Amino acid sequence: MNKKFNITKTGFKAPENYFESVEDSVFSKIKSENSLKSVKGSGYKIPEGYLDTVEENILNKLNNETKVVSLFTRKNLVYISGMAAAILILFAIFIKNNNPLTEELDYQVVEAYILEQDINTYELASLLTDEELSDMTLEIMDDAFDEEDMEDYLLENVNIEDIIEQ
Amino acid sequence: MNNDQELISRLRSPDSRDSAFRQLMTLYKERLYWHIRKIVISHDDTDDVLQNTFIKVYKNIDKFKGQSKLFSWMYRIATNEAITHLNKNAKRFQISSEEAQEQAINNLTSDVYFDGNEIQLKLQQAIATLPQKQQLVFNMKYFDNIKYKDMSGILETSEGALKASYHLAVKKIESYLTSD
Repeated sequence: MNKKFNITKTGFKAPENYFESVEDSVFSKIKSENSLKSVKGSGYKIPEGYLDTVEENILNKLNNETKVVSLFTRKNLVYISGMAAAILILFAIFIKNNNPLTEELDYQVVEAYILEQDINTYELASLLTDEELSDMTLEIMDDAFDEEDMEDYLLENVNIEDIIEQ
Repeated sequence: MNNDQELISRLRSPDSRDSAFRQLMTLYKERLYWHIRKIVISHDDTDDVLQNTFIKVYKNIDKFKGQSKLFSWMYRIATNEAITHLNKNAKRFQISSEEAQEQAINNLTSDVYFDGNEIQLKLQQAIATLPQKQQLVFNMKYFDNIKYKDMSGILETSEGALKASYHLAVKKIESYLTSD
């Protein structure tokens, strides 16, 4: 026999008495597999006629269920635009309220403020531009003032000497 | 063949099946064990594969046509079971079957069921470098002294191809053993 590499054995060895138990091990494995097969069913039972009706029941459920709806339905869009509008309005109000500069400020409020703060005419005039000053006309001059009221006012409030000197 | 025929007919008969099967196992268990062992390397894996092989033989005895020898048929089952086992193990650890086998060989030094010397270990390492089929051919020829005719039935390959494969295997092993 040609043993080219001068080796006749692999070096592998089996456990002692291993081969004596092979047949029994195999038979016991076959038996346990067979006993598993012989167990008929899991022991669970189902109601009679259940399997006959199950398809119909499922189909009925599918038909009655609300279908999956798209997010972008007409209804949803109305809600969303309504919400968006409300938010925009709130925004507008909020911004408007924060803005201290409004065109239509009540003149009576302004008048009361000027009197209260004791702002004199020179201060007011300094706030106006030259153009505004020249444009300004005393609208009240034509009516309202009674000559008698004027005379009374001058006598009481004005020192005649101050005017003459100026 | 006569012995074969008698055994086969007893195996096919439900009354005598178990006793015939026990006889079959006693006859072939060692040869099949060592054949499987050379493929899967570890004793525990060999034990698993050997039992699976016999169970498969038991379940499929009716499918055996008698066109080949009973032993060739069993040898083929054992070979397939061993390679399947190797591949399954490799897959479990997500490595190739070659790597799995290499690992198994490297573990031999600490294996209780390996008492080979340095040269025997090196030969096992050399064999593991061969392609799977070539390993089978080499082992079956070199260690088991299986005739090419019988090997042809087991591996379903022509005798010529097997001879060529064996010579190639020997050359590669020689080269490996003299390389270090």
